[in-house]
Amino acid sequence: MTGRGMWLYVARGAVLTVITVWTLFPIYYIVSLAITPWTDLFRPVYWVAHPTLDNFKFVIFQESPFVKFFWRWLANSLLVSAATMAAVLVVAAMGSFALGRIRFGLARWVSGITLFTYIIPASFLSIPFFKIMGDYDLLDTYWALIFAMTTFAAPYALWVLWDYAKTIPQEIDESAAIDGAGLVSVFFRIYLPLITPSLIAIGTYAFFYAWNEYLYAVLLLQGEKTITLPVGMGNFLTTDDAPWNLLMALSVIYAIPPVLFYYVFRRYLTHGLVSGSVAGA
Amino acid sequence: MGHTRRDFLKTTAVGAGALTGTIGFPMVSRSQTKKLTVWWNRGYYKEEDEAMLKIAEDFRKAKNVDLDISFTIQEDLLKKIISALTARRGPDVAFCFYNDWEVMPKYAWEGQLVETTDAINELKPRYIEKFLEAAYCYDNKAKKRAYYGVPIEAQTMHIHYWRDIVKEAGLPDDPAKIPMKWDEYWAFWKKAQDGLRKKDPAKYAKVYGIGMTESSSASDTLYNFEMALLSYNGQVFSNDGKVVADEPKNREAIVKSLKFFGDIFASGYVPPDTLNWSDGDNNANFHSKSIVMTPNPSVSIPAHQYFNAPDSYFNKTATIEWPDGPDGRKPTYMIAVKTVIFPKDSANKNPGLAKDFVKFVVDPKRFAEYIKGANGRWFPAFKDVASDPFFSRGQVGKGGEKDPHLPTVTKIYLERNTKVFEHWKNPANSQVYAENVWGKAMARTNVDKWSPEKAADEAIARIKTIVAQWR
Amino acid sequence: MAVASLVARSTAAAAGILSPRSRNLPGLLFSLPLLALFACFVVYPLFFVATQIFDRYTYEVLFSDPIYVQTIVNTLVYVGVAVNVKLFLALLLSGVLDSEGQATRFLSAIFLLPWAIPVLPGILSVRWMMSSQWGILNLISEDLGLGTHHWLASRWTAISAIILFHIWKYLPFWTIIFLSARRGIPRQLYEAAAIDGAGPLQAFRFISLPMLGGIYLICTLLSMVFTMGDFTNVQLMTGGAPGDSTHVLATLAYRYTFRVGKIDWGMGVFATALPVTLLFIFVLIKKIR
Repeated sequence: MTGRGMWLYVARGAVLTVITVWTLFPIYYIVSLAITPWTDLFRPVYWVAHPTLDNFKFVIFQESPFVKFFWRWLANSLLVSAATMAAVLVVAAMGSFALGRIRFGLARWVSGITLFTYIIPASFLSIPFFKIMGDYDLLDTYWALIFAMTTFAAPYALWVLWDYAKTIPQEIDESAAIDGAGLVSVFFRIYLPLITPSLIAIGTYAFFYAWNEYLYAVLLLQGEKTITLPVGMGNFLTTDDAPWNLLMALSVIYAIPPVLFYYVFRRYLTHGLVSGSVAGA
Repeated sequence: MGHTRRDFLKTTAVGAGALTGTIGFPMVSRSQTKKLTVWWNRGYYKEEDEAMLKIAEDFRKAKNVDLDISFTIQEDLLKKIISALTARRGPDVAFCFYNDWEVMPKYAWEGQLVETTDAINELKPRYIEKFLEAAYCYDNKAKKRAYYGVPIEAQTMHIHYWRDIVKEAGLPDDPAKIPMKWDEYWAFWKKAQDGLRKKDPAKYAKVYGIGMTESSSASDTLYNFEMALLSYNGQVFSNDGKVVADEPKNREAIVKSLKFFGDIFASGYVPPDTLNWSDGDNNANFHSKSIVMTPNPSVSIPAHQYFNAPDSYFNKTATIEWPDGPDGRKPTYMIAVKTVIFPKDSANKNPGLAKDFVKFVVDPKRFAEYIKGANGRWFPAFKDVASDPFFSRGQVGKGGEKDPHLPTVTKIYLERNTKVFEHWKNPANSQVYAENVWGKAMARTNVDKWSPEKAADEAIARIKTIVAQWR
Repeated sequence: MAVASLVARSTAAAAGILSPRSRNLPGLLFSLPLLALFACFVVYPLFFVATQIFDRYTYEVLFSDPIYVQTIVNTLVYVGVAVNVKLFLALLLSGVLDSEGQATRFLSAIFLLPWAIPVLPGILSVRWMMSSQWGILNLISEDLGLGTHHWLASRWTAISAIILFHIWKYLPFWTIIFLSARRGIPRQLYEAAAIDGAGPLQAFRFISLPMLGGIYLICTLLSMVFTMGDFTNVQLMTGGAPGDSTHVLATLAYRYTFRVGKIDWGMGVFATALPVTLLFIFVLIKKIR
């Protein structure tokens, strides 16, 4: 290895190490906090002296009034995320089919609308959303939240699918049509199967989006049995005798599903997500 | 729950299809059954909620009413109430711990709450009268001041301290022996810190004598400030809602209060972090014995101990009063009075029945059971319930130990002067509090090193602007 | 009869036989879910925000509120610094990661973790870390002889914490974006440059940069718009503390709506930011197309 090559090698190694530490440190920290007993919590330490799983026990068995509805919250988060994922898949699959395979005149408008919805910050619409849902008495229902999240997650999903579908030649559609297949048939029997890898990617993305959503969940859900995990956790932060140890354990539990999802579908994600954005260049 | 618009849409669809008097049908049947929707704040303890559920069940049977009661914690309930009132819907009865600061003054101003003067007059003989003014709000639509809520319970300022480390510092730990004159009181806690640090420098290097929250991120700061202001005989609003903070006597009191907080902060006997404490930080610091004493406006600290460390509750900590003012007078205490409100826009339009429900709730026996389930967190607004031995005696230890916390609190309510937070005088106060004007003023003196006069003038000017802009 | 003709039309459409105009119907039908969501949940709320633009009382209150002015400054700083630092680092990192070594494979297994982990656990971790009394950062800093600091106690250090967290969370995502953009650049260009004696820095300047320029610009604009609307990161890290000095647009709107109780002022905050935002959006749409 040349002198310069050696220097580069070391530099690269250093950078990679720094990135690894930087990436993992906050994760290490919260896990270590979650296994710290209450009595040791208010002392800054490097290592957890008496690791305990009690905090997790309190949460899982709902032993504290603060986590009385933990399992409900978890179920709500799962329900809402799964529903959003399904809705996004439907909206994005149909929309991308329209834009990508049906060459129609108003497509420019539809793609413009898609982009607009994608770019506008969701928080800008949050307060009026809250008011509208209040007026129609749809607050504290899952529907309101699912609609909100689908609206904001679907455009990106649509774009990604559209971009991915560009790799599928139009001739396939045309030969199917010549064989007598209608649009609906092409959609179900040719389009969907061929874009499945990308569907998995955006399904995962939609699930993440919904699982992580905080602002709309906090605005639209209030019932103590309807709120999702992050809202329940956020409420801890405002009380004056919050059981921080429980909160840390709860956060770790909250983080597990998306991390699991991530590892299972990693391959699809990195490939699938990227194509949509690069399409812009 | 108010399903006004949803039902309207549904009904229109039906009507459009049927073109007959079908539309009249749902409305007629609704007015024939008596229905009541109640939104109640979830309690801190199971016993509270269970007692309330039982009360609801009894009311249902007694009055043959279709009562729908739901429990929600205060942060979420506040959002629910705000969205309902903004949309001009609402339950018949809403009880949220934040009603007195965030809901009642504002929505009474907007003319959206049912007047409760009749219920108050009926219950007046039973009331501890000083709690009542919390509901005496101004209706800007009807241009009158009247009662717009029914107060039921209150919380106040407590001072908690660790008896065991005070003893270790070589000072008397019995509350009767702690000096209550203004200067000597604060000096006592400073001496405790000195004593501890001298005794065991390694262990107590970071212990502080006075755990006074001075942060602009905590509502505790507002309580602390108002208490000090009372000690210096100052006032911000007149009884009809005008700003009087700029009057010389009041301005002087504000300046002295700010100076007091600045002085103790700079003295080194208050943790430097108090400038950034949130409401839970003084609790956490007290639990970890980083501070000897702390003023706290709820009984969350002893309550936590009662359930998790009863030995600490009975033997190691105690509650003591706020000191006598610099002029020697006994302290006046700020109280936050928890109030029930009745939105006018409820779908059921049964304000009489709604008030009957609350009168049913505050029946002496029923209400005593409910409020005792809260383990002393709230003090009842009614003389007969307050005379229950629970409040004067408190909890009893396993070995018969006496309660060092609750009896002091009861004394505060029954024997001392109290003042209700001024939101009832002028709803703009909720914005003043939301901005934590006093916490910011303290930051000016403590961080920016402004003189207390300058900080006071800035705060007073800001209050006047907020009040002027409130419409 | 009608069904048969519809099937015939859709077949023809699929075969590309029909004119673009007459394919509008099937096109719109498939786009219907998206369009319905757009109409109900974007246009309708926007209408409310827009009407606040014409409310003079709201303006009076907002512009005379010192917190509002601070918030605008905070938002601009947050957006300006966080986005640019993050994307610049992403660009550089994408270069470092653009290889097949063992180290990169390990890294890629954990690299997107900050993005995968929900915001709440991450922020809690960082908040606790920065606690001046029991946080680990002060422990480290003390042991290194740098004294203790009150990280979240003053406006600019708190905003720096928010910016740092933002970078921690979103850097991986944008790095992957740039990485795959890089992979779209033909290897031959680099090889030719190497033959001509160009070093890595020069290769970056003359090949990577121009080719990535377009996408970098788009990502910058996009990230800026998103960050302008950020609520969760700021709300959970500081909630506007200390003293309402670290608010950004979205958290301020929330505060006016719930803590002050004036929903109109909450919408007004967004109304004042709407013109600039719409401008950004239209520029972006043009660029992406």
